[in-house]
Amino acid sequence: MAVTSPPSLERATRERLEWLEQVATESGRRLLTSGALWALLAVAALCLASVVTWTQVPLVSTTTSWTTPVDVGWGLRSSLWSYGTLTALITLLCGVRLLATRSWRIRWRGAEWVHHPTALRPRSLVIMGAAAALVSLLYVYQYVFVDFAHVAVQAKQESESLLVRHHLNYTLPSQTVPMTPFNVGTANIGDRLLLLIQLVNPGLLLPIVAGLLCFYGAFLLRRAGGYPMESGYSERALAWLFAWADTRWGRRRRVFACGIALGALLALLLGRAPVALIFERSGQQAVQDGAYQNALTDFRWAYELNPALNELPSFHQERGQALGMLHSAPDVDIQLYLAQQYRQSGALDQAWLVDSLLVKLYPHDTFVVRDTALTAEMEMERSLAGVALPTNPETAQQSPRYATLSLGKPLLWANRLLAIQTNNLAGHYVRGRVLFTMQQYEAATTDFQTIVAVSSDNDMQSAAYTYLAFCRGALGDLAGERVMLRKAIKLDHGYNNTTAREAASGLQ
Amino acid sequence: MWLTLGLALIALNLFAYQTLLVPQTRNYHANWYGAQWISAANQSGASAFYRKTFTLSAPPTGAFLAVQMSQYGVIYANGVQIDSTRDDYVSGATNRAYLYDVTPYLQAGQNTIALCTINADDSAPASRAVLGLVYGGHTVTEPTNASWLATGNAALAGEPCSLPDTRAWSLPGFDDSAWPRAGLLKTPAPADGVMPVRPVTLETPLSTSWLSAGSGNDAFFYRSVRLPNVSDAWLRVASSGDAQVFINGVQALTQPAKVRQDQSNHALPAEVIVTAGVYDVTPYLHAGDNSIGVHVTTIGTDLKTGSPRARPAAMTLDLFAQDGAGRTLHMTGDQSWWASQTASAGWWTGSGVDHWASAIPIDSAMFGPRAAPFLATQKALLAHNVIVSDGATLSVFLATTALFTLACVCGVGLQVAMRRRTRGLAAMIDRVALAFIPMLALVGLLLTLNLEPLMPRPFPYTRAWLGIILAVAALTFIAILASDALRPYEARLVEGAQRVVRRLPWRISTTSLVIGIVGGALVLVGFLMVTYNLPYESYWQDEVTSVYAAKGILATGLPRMISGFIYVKAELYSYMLAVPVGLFGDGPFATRAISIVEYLASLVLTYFIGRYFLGRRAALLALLLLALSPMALRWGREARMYQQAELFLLISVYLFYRAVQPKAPTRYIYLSLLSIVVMYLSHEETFIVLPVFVIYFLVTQRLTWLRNPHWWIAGCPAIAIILLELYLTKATHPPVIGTDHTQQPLIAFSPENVNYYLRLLFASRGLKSGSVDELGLTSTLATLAMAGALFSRDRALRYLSLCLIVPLLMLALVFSLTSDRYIFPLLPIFCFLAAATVVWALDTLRKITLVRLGPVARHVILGSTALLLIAMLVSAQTPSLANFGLASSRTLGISYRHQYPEYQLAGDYIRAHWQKGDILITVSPAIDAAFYAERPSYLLYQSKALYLFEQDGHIVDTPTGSTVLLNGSDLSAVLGQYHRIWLWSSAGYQCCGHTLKFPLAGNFALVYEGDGTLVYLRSA
Repeated sequence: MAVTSPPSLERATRERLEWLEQVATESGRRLLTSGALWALLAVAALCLASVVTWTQVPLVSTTTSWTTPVDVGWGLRSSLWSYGTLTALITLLCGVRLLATRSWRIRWRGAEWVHHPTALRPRSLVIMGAAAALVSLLYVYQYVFVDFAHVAVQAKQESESLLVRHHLNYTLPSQTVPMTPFNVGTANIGDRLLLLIQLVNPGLLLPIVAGLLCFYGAFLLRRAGGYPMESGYSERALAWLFAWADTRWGRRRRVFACGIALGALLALLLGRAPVALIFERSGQQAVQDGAYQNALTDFRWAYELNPALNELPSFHQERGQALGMLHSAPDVDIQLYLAQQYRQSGALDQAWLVDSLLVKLYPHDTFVVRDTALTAEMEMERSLAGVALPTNPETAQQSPRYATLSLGKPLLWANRLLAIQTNNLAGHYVRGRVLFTMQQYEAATTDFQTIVAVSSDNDMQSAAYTYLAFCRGALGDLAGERVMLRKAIKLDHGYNNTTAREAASGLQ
Repeated sequence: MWLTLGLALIALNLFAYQTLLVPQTRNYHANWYGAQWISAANQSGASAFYRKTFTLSAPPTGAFLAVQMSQYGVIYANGVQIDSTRDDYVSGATNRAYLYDVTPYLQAGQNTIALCTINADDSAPASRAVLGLVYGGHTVTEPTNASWLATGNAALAGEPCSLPDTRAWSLPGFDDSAWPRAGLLKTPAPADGVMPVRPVTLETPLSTSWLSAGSGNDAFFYRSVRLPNVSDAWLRVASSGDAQVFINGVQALTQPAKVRQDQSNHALPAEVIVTAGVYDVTPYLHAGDNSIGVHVTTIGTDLKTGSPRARPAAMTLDLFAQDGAGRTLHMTGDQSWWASQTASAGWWTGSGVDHWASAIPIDSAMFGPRAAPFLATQKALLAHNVIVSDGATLSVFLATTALFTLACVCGVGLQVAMRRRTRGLAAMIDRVALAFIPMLALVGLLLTLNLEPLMPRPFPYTRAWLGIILAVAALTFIAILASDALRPYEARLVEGAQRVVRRLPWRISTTSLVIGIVGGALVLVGFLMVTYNLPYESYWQDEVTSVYAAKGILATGLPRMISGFIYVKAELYSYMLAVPVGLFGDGPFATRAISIVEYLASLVLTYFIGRYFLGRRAALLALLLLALSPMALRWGREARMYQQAELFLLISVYLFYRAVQPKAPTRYIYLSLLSIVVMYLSHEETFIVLPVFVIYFLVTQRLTWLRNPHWWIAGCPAIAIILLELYLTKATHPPVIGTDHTQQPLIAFSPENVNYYLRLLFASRGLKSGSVDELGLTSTLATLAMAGALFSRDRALRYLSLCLIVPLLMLALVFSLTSDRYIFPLLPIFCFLAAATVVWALDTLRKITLVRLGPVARHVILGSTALLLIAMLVSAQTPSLANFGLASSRTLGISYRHQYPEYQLAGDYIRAHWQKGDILITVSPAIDAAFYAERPSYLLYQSKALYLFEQDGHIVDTPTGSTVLLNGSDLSAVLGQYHRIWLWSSAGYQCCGHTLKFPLAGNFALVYEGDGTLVYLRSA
């Protein structure tokens, strides 16, 4: 009887390693060759897109896919039908398609690996990719052509953010597109695109990444499936152009007809908002030519096609200019135009007169409130021109220079601003700093606490905690000051808040 | 091919549109009215100050100031800063003259025009200027000559030229009695500067009579003007509100109300909105009758009082036209204008203006003099000189080009048909598209050259260049059509060349000969440029740090700084540097020699490694790119470790790739890991490439490495050395004092860096006034190569792509510091990939031409396209010729400047005046002061906790051990303790409020201003 000796440890290890290598190789190969890897990655990217931030106004606010309803220009909006819902739906469809192929499944049967014979088809991956990319593209379309209310709010917030940055006394990461307070444009497509580029976060890009992954997977599948790229592009292009002569014309005709119908439907669905902008542009040109009545007609058409234009300050100003030149009775548009002209020429007191009257008449009109707040912010900034607010209580108390500072005016304008917009972060921050300089620490504490409550942004909270700490210190609560400074430093992930860090280390 | 055809069509259209319809920037020369170049007789530093004080009985009706400086400076009128020309100069525009309207700054009584000039090269600062005062039709000039006062001693001015807001010396009441008279420049004068506006438009005062249509806030003006054939025409428009100007039916320009803004971009209060501009309108005018329409809109309420507006919509307009004979015609606002408060349809073409009344003249006093500052500076005047064209004109161009293309198609089709070698419509279209390729490459080259600030203007949108572009297209067509006929000539030419090669005494192929000559020449050029005048630049702080580390090694065996701090960074480089420092001293020849040798080695290796990866052509092109890269030239002549890091990164990339090849000799495993360790010890920042090796290793080796003992034997010590170095860095660092932004962990997730690196790679002209090395085109081509690698089966290309993308992602996402020098070690990889893209494009072109064209046409198209593409690629690398390098600037006679502050001369000054008992305080990096002057006793703290550590109970500076003064109280205590105190500063560290918390003003007097350096002395 033959006796089989037990396998040596070395041999067992080698066999185990070989088995492991085979598993890894086979799994990787199957994942790659079946296209499942790319679909899987795309699904993962879409899942991630539905949970991370899409746009962010630094220091002020963030938006996710769930907070933006889908609206292609017909005014049909519902919080239930948001970009989050759309992303989730497409993720689900991609996931179902992926599971349906079962191409990723492999089993160890007998002495060899057996895998499911089917694989994703390139066309499936292309459709999945197009659907994924469509989410982001639709969002960009909506941002640029339709959703002016959202754009106006974000532009205002960006201006606030820039104002706060201006007073931080330390630098935050540089902006993607250099912008200055009060100059955040929303009037034309380029302005809105720039604003979107400024505020975009990875969440908005992930669906496009998912799409690219699918397209790349489709390419690999196609290449692996024996569809070599042909030479003679011109021949193929010509063949395509003259395909009407093909005997399969009937089928092609149906495809063409469907394509045309689909295109027409899309044009109808998505065309309304761009047509409104064309009318607006035509109105602007008519104003320049002096044809004010024509301009008003164009503006009216633009408004009928996209009522969201009413949210853009520039639209009111254009309409106000045309009305003003026709000597119409003063209305809100003319007043907004006047206020804008006053601001532009530096006559802020006149702008305030106009705006304060308007806000009394139309206290619930968001564009009037925003315009008035803008004037108040500009007044506040002007009153702070040349004033270097101290960054710690010791400097404020020791330096006689600060005792002579005239801070009544900035305080007045900050109060006016906050009376109009109670949650204006720039207003709270500046008022807090002014009160801190005036050594009214209790009052300053209230403003900084409001910032902590209103803003969820780490940098903004870090800045607020810094001055909360200083206020505590100035009031004699040194232990509380340390606690607050530690909070400020903990929230300062980018090591930007030199004020808090120097104060905590005693290097100030 | 279809895409090429489309691109050609677009390029041709845009070029023609720009040439024929859009006014282009042109170079004009100022009228100098006899002004001479002047300099200071008592020159001691890099700055010179000039003053001219004069008395006016009454303000002039107009005043202009033309200035040219060698090299740059600040211009003042009665203490008001008119302009600072530094940014222009730094961006490479070194040949500029400037012209300003200074009317609003002059007053009755005493007035002063003041200039301060800095020469950041080794020569003396000099200036040339002329002030023109216009009274009615009479002009009085004050050109620079010996009557001006000038001093090269900054102490006499009391303030430095290089800091902002230092204008006391430029006020009329300043005591300049100690200033000597200016001397005439004895050295050769700089070339006459150029400016982008015709001098007459600013030298002529604005009309005193404006035009209105009544008291309304809306006004329309129209007139027709008969002109001869004009070669140059400028329009000057000033209006009391927004203005639109229509010329010959086209809305030529929109002039929105300009509002003065302060430094924070806040609008300044103004009672009157007046907006003005000067525009080149040459393309819009023609011989004969021309129509001009202007629409002005103002708001209807007085801004100051809120009452109904008293000032109407009004304007004044001047047209300065030059005819073919050089005569200037000046058309100004007069009674020939028609005006109305309401528009009629098509009014801008003269339609319906018959019933309009004549324009009403208004005294300009209604708008001035408060309005005048809006016209003050040239920059404000020429903010936008973009003219809009109408769609109809554009359509004509499109149609013309389409017809042109169609004609070409027909021509080729005819030729093909005649030869009976027709291969169908597709072949014809391909041939037409191929004919446009050299033209496209030429357009690309011209657009790249257009970015060069020193390029004579107008360029490239001129009729001459348009003709050349069309000629290139036409010649290519001819070559295609006559390919067969030219074949014998070409064969003879090739045979001749081969005969010459065969006669050479050694046996060598033509290709090898060409590569040898070109490669050798490039290395030689690189050598000459990198070694040119090595001591030109003083050591900047990082170089001094390396030198001190080397000295520390010689003294103690460890890289110790003066303070005793151990410099655990780039250890290998420090030890290597110790050798030449020990043998030849710490002069620039010795310390910079290592980088030079490594630079030359990297050039040679770039070719050979590139050849291994991508073939000879790509290797040669990569070598060309690297040899002519300003970035490589810069780091190749510095006593710093970056060149070494680049070299060993290149070697590591090559050896590792060899090591992971199937059946590779085991020596490559050991060599590759050795080179990785050497690379890491050359500079730790090269860790960014380590993940590439790990990823590629795992992908190619899978799990086989577990059974390969060589990887274990070589890898374990390598990992141990790297970990040990990391440990030493951590262990030898003294305890941290404070955690400000400089203490940010070097390795941390920092996605905000993406923005910086995207700009650096693709739009670096926006960084540092455009002086950063330009990588835009190289990066784009490298990105294309990386994208192509995704679809390619070429392993080497995939590997090189991985070697670029992973380190870039590490830099952008993980490494928290940002600087252009961090991508320098990756430069050869950039060059490889960019070269691979170009070679791929040319190969593709070759394949297509092989099918579609005869040999002569193929060679013509391939040769010309390759040459033009390579020229474009090389020229795109440098942001400007003036910033390319010292050697090229000296060779071409272009003005050049020091890239770093000139510490040597400032140190010499202090040493020459040093007395026993003196102490030195520094604002700028203390280590430079220690090297060039004396070891500083104190350092003014500037919120950089990274450089602080505790020593003997004091907070001291890391490299020099100088005691750190944290605030004004600390400085005051020192001031009370010592008699003579020197303050070593530099403009970059002192400007912009960085030293506000220290009481410097009143305690220190400026005694020396060098290029970027400032020396103050306090002697109580």
